[in-house]
Amino acid sequence: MLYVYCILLIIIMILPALVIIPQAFTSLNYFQFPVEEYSTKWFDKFFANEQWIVGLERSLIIAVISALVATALGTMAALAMNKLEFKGKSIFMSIMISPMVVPVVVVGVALYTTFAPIGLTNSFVGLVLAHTLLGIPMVFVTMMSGFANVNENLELAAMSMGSTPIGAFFKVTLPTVRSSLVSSILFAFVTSLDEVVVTTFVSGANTKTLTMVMWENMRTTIDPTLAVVALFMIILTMGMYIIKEIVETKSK
Amino acid sequence: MKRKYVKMMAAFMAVTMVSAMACSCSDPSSSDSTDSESGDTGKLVFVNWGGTNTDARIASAVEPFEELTGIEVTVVTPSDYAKLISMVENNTTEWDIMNCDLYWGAYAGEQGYLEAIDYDVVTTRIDEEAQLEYVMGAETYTSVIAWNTTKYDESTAPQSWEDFFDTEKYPGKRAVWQYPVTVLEAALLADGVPMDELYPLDLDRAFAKLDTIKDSIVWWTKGAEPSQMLATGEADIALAWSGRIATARDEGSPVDMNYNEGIIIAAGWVIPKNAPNKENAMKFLEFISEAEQQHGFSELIPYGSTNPEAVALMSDEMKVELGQSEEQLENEMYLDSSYWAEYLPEVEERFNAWLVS
Amino acid sequence: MSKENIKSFSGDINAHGVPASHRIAKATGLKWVIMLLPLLFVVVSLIISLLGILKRSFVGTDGFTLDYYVKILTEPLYTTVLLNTLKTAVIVTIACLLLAYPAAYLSVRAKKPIVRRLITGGILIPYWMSMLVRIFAWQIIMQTNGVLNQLLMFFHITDEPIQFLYTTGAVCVSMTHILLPYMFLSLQSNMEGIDENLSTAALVMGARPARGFVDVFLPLSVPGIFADSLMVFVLSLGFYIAPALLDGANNQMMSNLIEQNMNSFNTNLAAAMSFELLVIVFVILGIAFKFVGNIFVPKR
Repeated sequence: MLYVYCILLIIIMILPALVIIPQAFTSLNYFQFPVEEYSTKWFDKFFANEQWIVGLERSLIIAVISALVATALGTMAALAMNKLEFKGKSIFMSIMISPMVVPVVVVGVALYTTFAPIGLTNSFVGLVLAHTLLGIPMVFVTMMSGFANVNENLELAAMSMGSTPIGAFFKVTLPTVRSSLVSSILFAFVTSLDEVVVTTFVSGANTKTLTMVMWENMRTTIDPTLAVVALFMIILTMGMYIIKEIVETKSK
Repeated sequence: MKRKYVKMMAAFMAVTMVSAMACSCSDPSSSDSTDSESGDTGKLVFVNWGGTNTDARIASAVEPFEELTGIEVTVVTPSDYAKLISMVENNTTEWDIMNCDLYWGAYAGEQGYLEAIDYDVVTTRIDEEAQLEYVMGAETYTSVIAWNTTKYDESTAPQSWEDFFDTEKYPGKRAVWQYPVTVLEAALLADGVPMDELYPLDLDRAFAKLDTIKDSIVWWTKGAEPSQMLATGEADIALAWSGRIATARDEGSPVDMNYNEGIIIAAGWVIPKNAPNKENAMKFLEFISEAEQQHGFSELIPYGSTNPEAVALMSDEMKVELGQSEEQLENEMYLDSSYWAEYLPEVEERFNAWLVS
Repeated sequence: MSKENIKSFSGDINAHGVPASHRIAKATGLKWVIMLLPLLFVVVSLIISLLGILKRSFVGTDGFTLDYYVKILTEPLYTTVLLNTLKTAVIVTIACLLLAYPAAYLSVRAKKPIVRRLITGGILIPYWMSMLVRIFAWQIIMQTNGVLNQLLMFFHITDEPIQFLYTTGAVCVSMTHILLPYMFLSLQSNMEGIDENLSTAALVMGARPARGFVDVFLPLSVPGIFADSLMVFVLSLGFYIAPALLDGANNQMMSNLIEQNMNSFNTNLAAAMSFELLVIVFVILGIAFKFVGNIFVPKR
């Protein structure tokens, strides 16, 4: 019963991918399903415009770095909520969640206000910092609920057996929240990959991400090149996922 | 471990202090324009919407300008109103010249966000109407009637806004821009207001007319959407931008359009307050407005020009294509940018309220 | 405030020089770093500027004013859009929760790791597609001559194509699709944390599996449900792109209205609306805290 449900859910979840991928091979310049005539012209268009490839590369690099930094910072904050006693926890929490709550346009303006005077706009570093900021609340919330389930007795036991608190954290706590950690990284990664509004404020001529290229093209062009982009993103990220799985199975 | 923390701490302290100092200023009116950046800087930051439009600008004007003057032009995309506003408010303007809608430029200028255009340097050849204190006309595009060619052909398609608003003659969905500009004009034209008596807009009458088709409208927000909506059957007819429909049609989409009662919108160039390379921006403005560059742009992408000389350079075929032949222009109108410069915010608010009512 | 922070911060560095003791309470230096480092990052990069912007929601051209708040709380445009936004966010959150919970449960309880991987992988595939692209995919599915209508007409459920696009329903569907992986992943990592022995124990003690689930597993997963729903709720409140592209204009969302106001020099109004959203989220958080306790801190 539950299995049937899961299969159905997965089909629905994958449906958009199944629908969009054939569109990369359409001969029309609009989206029509099913595809009747196939051509590779949208691939030619994709490769002819280096903006796409440069943007894709840049997006991936920024997403990886900011996901890692956001995970580190967000995990620290979640740990602080969980392990430390201090006044104003709710204020602390509000501040950590705020990048997710405040509408992106406003975050964009605020970040611009901070970054512009110190020359961080139109810089790679600025973009990474901005995406990190947006990733932190994702990580924070995910890790907090992860830590909420950690059995404190185990940590205490480890410490009573001679571990330092830090040692206990790495030996006992971290492994139990491993999957929360993985989810956090994924959340932060995708947040960065999909972000467009804040990026508009922080990026400039030399720091355009893939999503930005798509978004600004939409004023004049919506065509199946988008499907080609989707295809490459799926292949790339699925590749990463598969590699991760292989590494994990081998290391066991 | 410990060393790393110290390092990070130092970095954070620096950032904290710098931004603490910087965040005290945010009032746009207090930032008086100092003319410290006069003289040739050899640089220019040119901001445009991106996509094919920008490609055409680069080929037709930016590259020739670099060659001619040796000024190094950085092209930034996309134009962003909110970003320009925050640049000026923070006194950190990085942009020198930006493409925007003419009415927005006129409004932004009134609010003190733009440099006045120096018409001594820019000895303009642009349409008088598109030559305002703070903004100067660039390309034009037209809000036109477009349709799906599997549903209608040139003779059966709507011939006027009156037809467009006639749900009995054209029962299907119509795609309309989710913005008051040109939409209210179209409504009034449909209601029988003559073109030369449109302004100031009779808002009550316009919204009453829009009410009659509200249920059969699908709204679009991005310029490329209507041609998709038409091609995929989401709408049968549309109020759409001419350039995009022309491109889609030429690429084989089942869409077409006519210029009957087309409402011509000019895009314009603005120079943000305290632009770092203001002088170069003026020079560039002069250059890009010349007939040759304007014409070159129109050859690359189906947008019209605010320069009559550039229009004169066009072949008759191209004029018809862009809706700029004399015959067509008789039955088209220019958007009154000064009206929108004055009333945009309140009309926009009323439009939004009407949308959700 | 920044000065104070720096002070307390450098103070901690010195304290950190004390050799780490075996008891958490004594590892003072390091312990405050984990709180201050992220806090400082967010405060410095965002909060300071944000306060500057929020200030403008109270300060008009003639000094202090509550006009902007009066406006957004009384005028129908703003109240309608707010209600629409909340309504959409609630629908999407509930839909995500109901759809993701069984799948997450199955993936955690599955005996074979391959089952877990397949479910996770399947639900994550769309996660890798850019949000923009996913929105277009839904357009293809829901458009008048799209996949869904073709199916419906093939099975003669309907004879005329139905208009799905540009309705609140379309926005909810695509937002649910976008946010479901978030809900799934965080539910999954939560459920893993629940001590599986507990439900096994319940079984051993004679409870039927269904009862084991209802009595033991479900209550234990409640804090996780709250936390994850909150995240999805907050994320959907701020959605911008999906409504911009899929919405029938009569159900706009806050972010879109805020953006329009930013573009037409109404920063004050935009600031007031942003602050309103913030307050709503924190009120909801507060209510959740009151009824379930701090969902993020383990019960002892």
